[in-house]
Amino acid sequence: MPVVNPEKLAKLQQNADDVRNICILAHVDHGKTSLTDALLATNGIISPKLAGKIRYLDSRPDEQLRGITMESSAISLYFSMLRRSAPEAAPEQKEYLINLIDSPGHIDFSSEVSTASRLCDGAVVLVDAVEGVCSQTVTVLRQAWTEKLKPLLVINKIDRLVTELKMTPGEAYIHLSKLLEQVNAVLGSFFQGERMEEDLNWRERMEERVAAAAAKETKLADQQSDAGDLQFEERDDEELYFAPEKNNVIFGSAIDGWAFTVRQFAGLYEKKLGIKRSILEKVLWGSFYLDPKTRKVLGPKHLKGRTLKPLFVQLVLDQIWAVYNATAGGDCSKGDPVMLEKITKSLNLTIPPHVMRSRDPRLLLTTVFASWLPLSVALLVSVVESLPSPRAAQAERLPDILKEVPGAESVDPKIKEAMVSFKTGPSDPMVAYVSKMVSVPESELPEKRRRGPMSGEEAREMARQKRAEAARTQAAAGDGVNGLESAFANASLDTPVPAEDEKEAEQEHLIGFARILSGTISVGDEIYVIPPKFTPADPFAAPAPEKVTVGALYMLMGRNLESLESVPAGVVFGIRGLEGSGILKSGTLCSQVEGAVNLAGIANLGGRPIVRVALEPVNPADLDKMIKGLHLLVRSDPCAEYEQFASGEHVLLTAGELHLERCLTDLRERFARCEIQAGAPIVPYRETTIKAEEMRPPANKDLGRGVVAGVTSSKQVTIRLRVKPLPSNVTNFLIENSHGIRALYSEKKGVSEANSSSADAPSSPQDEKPEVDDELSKATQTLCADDLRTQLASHFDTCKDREGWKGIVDHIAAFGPRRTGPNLLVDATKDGLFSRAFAPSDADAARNSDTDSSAAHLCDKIVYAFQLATHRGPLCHEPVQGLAVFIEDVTIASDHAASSDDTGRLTGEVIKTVQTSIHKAFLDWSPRLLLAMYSCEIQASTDVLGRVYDVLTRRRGRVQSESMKEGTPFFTVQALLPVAESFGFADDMRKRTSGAAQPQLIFAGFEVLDEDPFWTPFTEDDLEDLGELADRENVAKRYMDGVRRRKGLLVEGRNVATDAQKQKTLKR
Amino acid sequence: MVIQQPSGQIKLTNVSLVRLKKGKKRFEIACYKNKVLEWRQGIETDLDNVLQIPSVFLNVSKGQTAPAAELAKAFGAGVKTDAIILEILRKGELQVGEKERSAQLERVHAEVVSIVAAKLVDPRTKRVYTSGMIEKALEMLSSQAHEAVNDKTNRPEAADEEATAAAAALPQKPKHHWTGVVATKSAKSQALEAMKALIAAQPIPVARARMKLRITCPTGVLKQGVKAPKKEAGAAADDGEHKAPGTVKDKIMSFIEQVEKQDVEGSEWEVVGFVEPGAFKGLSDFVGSETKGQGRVEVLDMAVTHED
Repeated sequence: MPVVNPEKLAKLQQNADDVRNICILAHVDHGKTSLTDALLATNGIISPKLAGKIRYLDSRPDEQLRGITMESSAISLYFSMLRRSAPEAAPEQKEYLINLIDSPGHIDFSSEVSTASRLCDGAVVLVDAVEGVCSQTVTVLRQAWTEKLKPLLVINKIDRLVTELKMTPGEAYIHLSKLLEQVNAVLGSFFQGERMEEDLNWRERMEERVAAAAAKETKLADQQSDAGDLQFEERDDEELYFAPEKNNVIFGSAIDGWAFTVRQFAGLYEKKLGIKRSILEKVLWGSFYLDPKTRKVLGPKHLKGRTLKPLFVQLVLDQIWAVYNATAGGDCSKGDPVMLEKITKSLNLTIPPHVMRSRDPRLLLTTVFASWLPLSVALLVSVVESLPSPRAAQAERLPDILKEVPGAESVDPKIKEAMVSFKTGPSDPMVAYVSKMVSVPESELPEKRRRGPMSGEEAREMARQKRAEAARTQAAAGDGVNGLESAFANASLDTPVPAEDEKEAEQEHLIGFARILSGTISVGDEIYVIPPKFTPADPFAAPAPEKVTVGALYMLMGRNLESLESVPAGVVFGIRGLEGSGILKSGTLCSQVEGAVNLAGIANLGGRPIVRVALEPVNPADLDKMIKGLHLLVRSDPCAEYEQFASGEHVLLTAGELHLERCLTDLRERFARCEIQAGAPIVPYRETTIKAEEMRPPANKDLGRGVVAGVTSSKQVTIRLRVKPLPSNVTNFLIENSHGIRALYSEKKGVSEANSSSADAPSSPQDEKPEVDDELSKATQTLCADDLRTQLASHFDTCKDREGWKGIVDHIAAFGPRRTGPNLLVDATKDGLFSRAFAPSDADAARNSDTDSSAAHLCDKIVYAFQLATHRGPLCHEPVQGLAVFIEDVTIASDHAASSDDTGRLTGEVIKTVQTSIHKAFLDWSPRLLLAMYSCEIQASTDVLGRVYDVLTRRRGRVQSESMKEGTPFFTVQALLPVAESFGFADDMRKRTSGAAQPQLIFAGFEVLDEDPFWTPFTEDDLEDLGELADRENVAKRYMDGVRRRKGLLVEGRNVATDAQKQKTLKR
Repeated sequence: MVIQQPSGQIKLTNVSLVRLKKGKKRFEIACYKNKVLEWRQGIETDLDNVLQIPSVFLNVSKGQTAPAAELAKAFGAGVKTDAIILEILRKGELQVGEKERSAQLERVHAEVVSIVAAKLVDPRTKRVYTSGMIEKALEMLSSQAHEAVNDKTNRPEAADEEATAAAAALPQKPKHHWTGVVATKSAKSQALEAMKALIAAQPIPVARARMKLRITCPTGVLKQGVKAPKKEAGAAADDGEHKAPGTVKDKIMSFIEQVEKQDVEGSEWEVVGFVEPGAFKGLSDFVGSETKGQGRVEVLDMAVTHED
């Protein structure tokens, strides 16, 4: 095949009707990339001999190594065929451009599949003839269904039926028809689901109408006719199934390079059998038989007990089996030369003598098939014939998509029109959709390479130069031998780990993977990048669309890029120059801002990433590199996300373990270029204390529960405080309104400023309020101080123990930890030493200056100690919530008058005393640990539901609800899962259910684990049941000890040697 | 002489001794390994799980039990053996078991790392590092320190050649070394050392997290010149430059690295700002002495780190 040069392809792009944008979808290992290889061979990109082995589009080293695709990649192919415009007209040569996107099949990379399918008009779905419908096949079929892509089914690997399973053609036929039924059943279930939904909607609408009609029945006489057109429209599902007679099923074997459609065979047999082609096409698949005497096609009824082979077996499969037997079959799989000759003669094939003589039967096999049933012809003809051109596809798909776009009603009708009717004129608005960003090293950009087509000779020459150059630089670097070696390793395909030095200098460029929907885009054009949250109703809301200049346009040719000057509508292309535009993963490009359409907003990328790991550079000095690399990675990967926590952790979220591995290799080798290790992220906890049914007697009987009188070590200051658990509704209220509390502080500050500056202080808080509100996030409504106070008071009123909390709001001195948290410091001293949170600040100032007693001086220390104590609780130094600390008394021994020298020393003592007292009083109640929880949504079919429950319970998850999705065999399970148990959850779930259940995890806040971590049996019953050491494991203690061990706190219990006598005896 | 027969022998293996010197005699008891510390911490409550044999020895390895007379002489008459054993267990010197030691070291190490991690931030972003990062950085430091020691001992002649260069380089070398945790010092003091070493060596960019302070002071005092400080006489050379500003206010402001807000309310001057934790004591002392107790330094936040 001749090499097709890019100029020709670029020319073909202009004619949109002859362009097909297709993606290849399938379960992992069903042969997508091998199939693509066979197509590439037709364009002379790779040698036909290597097709199916080289996996050209798997350009990453790890892709080659593992033999699976990880990133979708695109390539443009040229295809020409003779085509009759009308049945009688003379066939004429037509040229087509096929933009093909190869997508990964592994479940971790489903996001790549979504992005790929967004760009295309049609999908080629592969199914392994042996394995049949697998989990990902269903997923990709659904993807094609939701994206409204026209599918084409390829039943691949038929050779395995012959060579591995040794089926007879008859068996194979039955197998294939079963397989086809499976696929159709999947499609049917989608259809049914949609139909049920429509039915439901329709019913609702009917009811609405009936209700409305009933209201104005008297007025409206023509109600009958109204109801008449409300008949439910039954939709025909015949259209969407795969059927060989409709030419949307291809049988083939990518590895052996052959494929056929029924139509092809119909053409072959038209003359031989003397049956019309159109009829033959209909009967070649299915229970139709050829009467050997009359040479007529019979239905199953007319069989009359005869055992005839179905037409498909007789005419198609038998022939293929014969070829396999003749070439690779027979004794010791050497083939049967006599039969081969017969076949070649009858098929009118010529086989070059060197192939005939060859000892490799596979070569013979592929040669015969390549000339008889070439794969590319069957596939590409079907693609051209039965998949729509961009013009047709957009007219069909876009109206639906445009309806779902955010702010659909304010989209400029001109743009809508241009997109639907596919206008390509220069004055028409340009709309393009960027589905993902790819990072490309600078050296691979076409500007950096030489232009024009490259012949094989030139390519070799260039490779040689490159190799020599690499060797030179490395020799110069010092270790000549190693350098040479790695340079050679570099050049060979199987060990593609590039040399370090070369990479060091290379810069990565981000290239957008895009599809233009209308208009024309050229290099140098100024376009607007529409951010994902954009809505045309409010076009200039932040972040506003940014204007960028198109840096370069590329034709995507697998791992190569070819420069283009301009791109008309309907083409898949690469675009450079979006780096600074803030486009993160997907986005829309538009030539205008007003009424622009936001296509990225509706992209439902196949599920959010759920596997989280904390990353750390092996060498701590590489941290900056790693952070930079992470930012790059996030931009170039549609499904990876990156978060930085207040704890300093860098957490990477990925779709699965395999995806994670790929992200890590990317980071190590391309983006960060340093060693990185991944580990489980730190799990946050909260501590609280409650009033339990059974508690040990209070530590100090005279004072009561939760009261501690702390004395500083110098015996100068005595502080009595009482700790009480807050009612849960109050705690929740405080957690929800932390913004309000923060605002309270800033407002107080504002008031004091206003006080000092001007006299008209009373009005200023109201003026200032909106400002504060704007600064804080709008999502959580902030309450102003008065509202906060009254609401807090009402919450105290509604709780059980109303008396205990009466009038407390006015005595609140502080919130904690960090002055905003859900714990209260309450001033219960007789003379009110503390400044109040809800009191006007001038009163504070007055009191502060009046009471000059040294007890008041200690107040800020006590408040600070309270902040510290609530920031790090007594259980495992995690933040505390739901605690009220009453300072009841602060006395200073009179004989030591606190001189100014002492204050420094006293500060430390008071802080320490108060902190330990609070902790001691905290433990006097029944302490509890709060676990961070994920709310987990799992979709699973009935057959794996048991296993889903299995995994959930083993990880201490709790199922909350379970509901059946109407019209589908799927259940939706809602569960709560502790974050502490979630590491590896997704992987576990997938393994257990063989990928049939997909969990989604969302952080859902903290939940009390109702178990005292310090609990040991102490009542008589418990002691009898459980023994002194409590046979049952204390889960709360396990969590607590885990954190304590991490933080280096004292872990109680026998951690060194449990049994003294069972220690290992070391011989002397 | 009692005939030693195999059935009558008691052999002790895995012995860990606890010794107590009392009344000029040394008494020993035979315990199991790794259990005595647990007993002392109150974790282990079963004496049989600690003690191998309930008798007091003069020498365990020789099997010499302490005669009753000796015990009575040392511990007083009428004291039961059990009470003596308990006293020895409580007060005696003991061999810390291998596992016990490693567990303790591990704990101290984790504590030091978590303290350091909470107090150090990246100076550019004000974010804390994870304990893992801190741990690695400390490891780098300690391995460097060990290497340096090895270099010196291994290559004396090389050291001679470089002696002059080393001598020149020595003063610039950070004074603070980090060679790993020890069990003898408290975690807090070791954490301080580790922090100093980290800041001096900067294997990763680190700085102490700043304290947030509120300082109030009567305006009258502010304008006064700093009294000739007797205490600071020793550090006069350094303070010479600083003395140029002169007023109390300037002196206070020189402590504060970054001022968040500053205003005057009536006769009170108030400033909220960030201060290097090391300077806190100096500042607090200064304010206390200069204003005679009228000014106050209030800690708003011990370690300010970036938060989302």
